[in-house]
Amino acid sequence: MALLEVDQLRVEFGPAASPFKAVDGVSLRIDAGEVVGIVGESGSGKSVTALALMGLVEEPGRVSAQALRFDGQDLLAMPLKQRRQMLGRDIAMIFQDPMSSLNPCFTVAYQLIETLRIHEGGSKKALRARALQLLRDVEIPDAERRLDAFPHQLSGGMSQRVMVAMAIACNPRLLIADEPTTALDVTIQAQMLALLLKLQRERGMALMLITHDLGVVAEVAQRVQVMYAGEVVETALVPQIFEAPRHPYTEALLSALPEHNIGRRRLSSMPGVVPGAFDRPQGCLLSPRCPYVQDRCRAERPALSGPEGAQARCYFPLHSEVPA
Amino acid sequence: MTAPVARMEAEGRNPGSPDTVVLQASGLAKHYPVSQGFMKPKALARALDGVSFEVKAGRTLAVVGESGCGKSTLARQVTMIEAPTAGHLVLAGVDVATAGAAARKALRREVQMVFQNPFASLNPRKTIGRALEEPLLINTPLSAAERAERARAMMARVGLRPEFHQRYPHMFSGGQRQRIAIARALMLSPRIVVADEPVSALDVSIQAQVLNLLMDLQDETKVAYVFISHNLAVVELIADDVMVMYLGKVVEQAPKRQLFAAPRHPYTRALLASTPRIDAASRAQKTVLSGELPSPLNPPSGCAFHKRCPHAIERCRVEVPVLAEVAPGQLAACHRSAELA
Repeated sequence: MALLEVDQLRVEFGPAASPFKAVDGVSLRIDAGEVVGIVGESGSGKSVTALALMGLVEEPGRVSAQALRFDGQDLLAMPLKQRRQMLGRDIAMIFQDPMSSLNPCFTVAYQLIETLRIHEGGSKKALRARALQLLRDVEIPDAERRLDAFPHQLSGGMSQRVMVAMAIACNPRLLIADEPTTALDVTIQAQMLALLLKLQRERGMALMLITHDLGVVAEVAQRVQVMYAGEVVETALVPQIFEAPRHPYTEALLSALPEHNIGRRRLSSMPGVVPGAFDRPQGCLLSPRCPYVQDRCRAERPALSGPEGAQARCYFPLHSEVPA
Repeated sequence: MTAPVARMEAEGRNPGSPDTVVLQASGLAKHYPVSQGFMKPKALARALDGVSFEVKAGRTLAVVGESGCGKSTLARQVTMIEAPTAGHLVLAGVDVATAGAAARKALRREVQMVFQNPFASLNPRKTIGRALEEPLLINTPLSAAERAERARAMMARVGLRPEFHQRYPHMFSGGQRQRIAIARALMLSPRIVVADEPVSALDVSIQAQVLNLLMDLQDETKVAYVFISHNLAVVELIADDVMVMYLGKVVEQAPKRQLFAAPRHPYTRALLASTPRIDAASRAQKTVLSGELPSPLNPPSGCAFHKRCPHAIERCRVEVPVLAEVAPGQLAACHRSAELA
């Protein structure tokens, strides 16, 4: 049984008569101990998907889904109080910008212990010892001294390690990481990815890694979902997606990478931008930008099709002769 | 539209043959005094410490490094926003330090800048047309109609529809705004454009469009770029020469091909290894650096990189390595570059 099961998740904003669908019918399965990458550009709905899973989409945003199950329990049917107990304990999340995710008014120890106290409790001394151990687990040098540091005394990489420590404090079974390395320097980014993978293996956590960096996905994830304008356009295994992408958008993303254009005079690039709230086309969302567009693509929107685990939202998928 | 090169010639300016050196720096340094608190002596942050390079017309020098390595300080010296503490800077054949006020003012036309964040670098209360015309208004005697004509021509050149002339920045996407910022930088046909992380705030597909635009414009106008980036994949594509910086100093400097084929400084190697790659073969050997970047207020003794370097020996702790030629055209500042090659 899958650890997390999401079926037809929809997040809408704006008037009920003509809503803007930030996330439109996203389905997702994550098994225990699995690393799944969610890839997409800005405005593709990947962060809103994560916020909806964490119950962090605030009014007037509307979240609906046919099924939203964690470990067999229905998150939609469960009382709010019970769901809140689960969040932060069984499902934890780390955010993109570590500098603005920590409360600047409290020490690292206070913020770490707060998480532990709410979900598990214990004596002051025991909680502090656990907080110290957590800082050691995330490989913060000189952990004793850092415990009483305020966030402004920490570097970006160090703050992100504290965020990770807070997220793993209650041994979550699913960790959602929303662009965990984007704000960090290259060498620190490599350290952070290595740390996340180590923790994931040691603790058998499932990791949902949201990123725009295909290189990060290639190095870390086992499966990947590509999102475009609120929809999943392709699901595939790594490394198959890099060898034989089936959706034209995935192909365009890959060929726009500088590392695939070395020695050429120009990067291959897809014209246009991700459609915004008011200019989403009628047919396939990619149709105005797609190099392979046909009349059918402009008229009707394709559904995800193909074998389980290698689906593409396209009438004319590429590389379809390659067995999945 | 008039081609920028033709226009420069009409204005009596030489757009520069391919071998003209348009930017030359030697021993460039910038030190900032930093307050340590009340009644305490001021500390000195050596943000930029003795950097030398030159850029020819129509070429691109990429400056690579992580936060705090001095790349943005370098940009502020080259664009004459700040005066360097020491060293010489020669722009378009004129020494900035000895030039008079009028000469300096004229020089500013030759150096323009494109910033990282296109959401912060455009005035939200100015239409795009006004933003593009302002450099002309200040620096040229052109009439309003001529200015508008040039602005429209430049917009067409960077791939924006001339109808956007009356629109405000909030009506554009990030990629379009960066096109506007590039158009604004090129309005005066400068010889040098300093681009500080121009594509790092953009999505992959938009990043490709903007990089292509930058390269097209360079082919056309022979402008020289100082391209500041932390993304080695982008640098490998756009640069002619690369300068890797660490804590205010250059650690390696070489033509692009040489640097990527045979990096000689351990920090360059670590940067290359840390960049996430899709191709499994290019990430066969992964060395993750330990430790974080040291503070420029309190740099380590000897080689600034020795605390994180996997090859550090006793000599690295004591003696500061000098930048020396390790192969024809390739400079590296490492005591062990010969043995580690």
